[in-house]
Amino acid sequence: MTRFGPPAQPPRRRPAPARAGRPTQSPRRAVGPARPTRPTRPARPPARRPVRRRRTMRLGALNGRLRFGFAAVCTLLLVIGGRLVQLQGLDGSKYAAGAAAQRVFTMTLHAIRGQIVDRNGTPLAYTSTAQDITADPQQIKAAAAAQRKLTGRDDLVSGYATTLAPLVGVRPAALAKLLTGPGQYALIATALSPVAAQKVTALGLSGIYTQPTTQRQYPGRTTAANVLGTVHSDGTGAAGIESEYERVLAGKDGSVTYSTDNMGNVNPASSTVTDAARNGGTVRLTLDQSLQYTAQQYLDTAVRESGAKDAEMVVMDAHTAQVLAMASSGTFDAANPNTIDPNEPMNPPVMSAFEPGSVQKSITFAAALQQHLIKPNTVISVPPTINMGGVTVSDAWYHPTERFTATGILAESSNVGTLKVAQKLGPKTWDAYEKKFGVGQKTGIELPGESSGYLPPMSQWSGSTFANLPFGQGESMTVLQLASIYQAIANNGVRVPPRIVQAVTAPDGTVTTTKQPKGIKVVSARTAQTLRTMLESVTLPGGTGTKAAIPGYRVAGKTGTAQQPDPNHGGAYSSWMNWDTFAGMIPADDPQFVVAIMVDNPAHGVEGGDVAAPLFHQIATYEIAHAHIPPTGSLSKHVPLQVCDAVTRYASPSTVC
Amino acid sequence: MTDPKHAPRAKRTPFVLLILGLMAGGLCLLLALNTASAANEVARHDLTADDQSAAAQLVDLENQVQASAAPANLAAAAAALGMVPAGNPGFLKIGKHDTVRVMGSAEPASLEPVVIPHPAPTPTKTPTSTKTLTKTSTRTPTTTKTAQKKTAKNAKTTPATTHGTTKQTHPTDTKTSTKTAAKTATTSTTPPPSPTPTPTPETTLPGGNR
Repeated sequence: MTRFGPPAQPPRRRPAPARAGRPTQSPRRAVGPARPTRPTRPARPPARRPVRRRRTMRLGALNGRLRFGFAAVCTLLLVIGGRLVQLQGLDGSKYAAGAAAQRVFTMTLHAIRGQIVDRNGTPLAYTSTAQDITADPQQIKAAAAAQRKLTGRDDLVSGYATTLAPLVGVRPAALAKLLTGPGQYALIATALSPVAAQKVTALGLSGIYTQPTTQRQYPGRTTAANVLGTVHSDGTGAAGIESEYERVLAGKDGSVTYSTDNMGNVNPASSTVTDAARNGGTVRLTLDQSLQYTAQQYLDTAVRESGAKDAEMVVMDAHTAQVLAMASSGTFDAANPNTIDPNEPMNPPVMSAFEPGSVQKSITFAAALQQHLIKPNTVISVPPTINMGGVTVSDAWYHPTERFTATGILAESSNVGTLKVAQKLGPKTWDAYEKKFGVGQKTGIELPGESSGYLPPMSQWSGSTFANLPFGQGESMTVLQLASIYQAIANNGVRVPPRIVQAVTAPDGTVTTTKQPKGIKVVSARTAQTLRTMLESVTLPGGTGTKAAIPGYRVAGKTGTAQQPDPNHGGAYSSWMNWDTFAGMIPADDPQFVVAIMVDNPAHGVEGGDVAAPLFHQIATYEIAHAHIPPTGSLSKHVPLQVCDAVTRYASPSTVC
Repeated sequence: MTDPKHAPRAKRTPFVLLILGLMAGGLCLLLALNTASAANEVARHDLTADDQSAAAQLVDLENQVQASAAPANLAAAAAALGMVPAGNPGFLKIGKHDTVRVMGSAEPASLEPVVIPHPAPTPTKTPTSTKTLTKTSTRTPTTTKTAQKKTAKNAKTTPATTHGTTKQTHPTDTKTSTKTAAKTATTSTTPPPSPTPTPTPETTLPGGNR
């Protein structure tokens, strides 16, 4: 432009003189004609001014619109910005949560409940994965409507019901009702095995879904069910070890959080947050599954054959006091809670107490031996009856005044003789030994609902109390406590509180072995050994428990027959309702295990030696073969049971005299 | 001015072709990738289904093994094989100079084999996928063959699931029988009921989980 500028200017200025010819427009400048070239300049402004003025006016108007527009835009922006702040800043979290709810889902990862295993690691209870089958009745309704439209038939629901019924184990009629029910959710089968659930899925029925769950399995069903307990429908422990060790077994559910697109597919780019489930720990019991099963079978058979109400048994390791079997007859099926009788204790061996009867004469004799009041062959004159504290006590069989040895009193279970021994002891000493043997105290075993039994406190004794207690009437104990008393005798006088949990394995793998509780020295080892030889005579000819004997083995034990209070006779002792008991150990000179048995009110065979002793024989025979316990090879020491005259000597077995 | 106009046009053609080629190639590649991804997705889906089926069968088989290994079923299986419970055991004590002493009082077993009136029912679940079925059947080799033969011979009533059971009964039972020199029925008036009395139907249900 600079280049062409100068030449272009002269032509522009040329018309200027022509403009000068208009004097009216510029009268002032027309005065000086001497300056002909000058007027061109003054002439221009008037010509250009209107143009300029027009321009500035347009600009002015434009400015106004601009300002107006600017303001409008600003207002708009402010409104938008404000809304933005409102949405993002003030209500932001709400909308973000709403959006997340539409695309982010959380799925529960079920923790597998821990196992309960026996002392050899055989699972007694474990949890496996399973599937629930659910239905969406609305979808099924829609599918039925579609089918009706297409084919004109209206048999979709009945078809569903007949197809599904055999797979889920629900009757077709009940199933059809569920499928046509209200709402969008119906649970049609719980805890189906995964294979069965797959068959349901393979049918591809619309509106039928599966959802993962877990199922508690008790492969032994009734075996050890009384100890294991059972679980609630939600999988939490309801009884027994299941409830006592809930914290260890339960584990902790985890979750996985993921986001999906609008089609419901998992968005691979989104972050998936996984909180892994922590499975439950393992509880290892001291029980031996085989022994437990066998014990239960024997008890069931014995109850059936003797017409008894109930029978219970505890088998215990003689040295560690670990419970090897804790059985009761007619145990429920842990896998089927419907078999649980709500009126019966779930675990009678620790929950229900009974009057032990003669079986606890051992305590009286242990105390007397320890106090050096008697020796096995001490001769005591035993009259047919004895009057103590205003009551007359007789023996279970009639006899004239006879001269029994202490061993004989125990072997033939004379109440009168036992009271004479107790009289030597005195109530105070007797009571102290009862407490040392754990009568009336909980053993502290790891099972819920343990009964402490009952030993009347001396302050509440009446005059006749001490006429009953020494032979086991007027006090009560559980089978477990009875086993514990004999464990002390078997373990050379040291009573170890019994335990049933061997070890607990935490979910992280750390093993906590149950520490053997500190033993309580009850009597000296010498006293325990002497008492065991005395108890041997119970199972030898002439004793009350000969049916407990095992050929080739030395068996020490004691029978018991306690009268039951009869509620129909104002709670007075019944003459025909009995608790039949037997407690014993084998081999007598080196005991390996202790068995305590109680049979509640047998109809046939009313004495402990008739029902309980054969049970001891059976279970002990099984256990010596099962645990490989050979005989010690030693022979029983012969102690005469009574001072015999010529006739008795001729008529009685050789062991009596 | 005409020359510079024509020169770029001559050069643009291959460029356009190149771009078109790249685009076409890219599209083809995309199609191929997409197809491959879809094919892989299908394969993944199939494999997941297989995996789930195998996992389901594993759970089922484990449950069956556990149920069959339960004492009641072991007892039934042992009885079906004609085994009788041992009575009072005898032991051989080997002393110094290889002197052998018989301890305990053992007698030959005199009990009748336990008759199981109701055999343990076969589990209701049967494997669905034939693939896994052949796998498991090839995996259980010679050890079960003899057991199977025995079961077939001795008792037709033995359920199919006792393959696992018979395996398990063998060690336990041989243990006792080797230790027991001879089996006896003791002299008590009533013969001791076997440790394998007739199990109630409830206790013998294997795999019945509910």
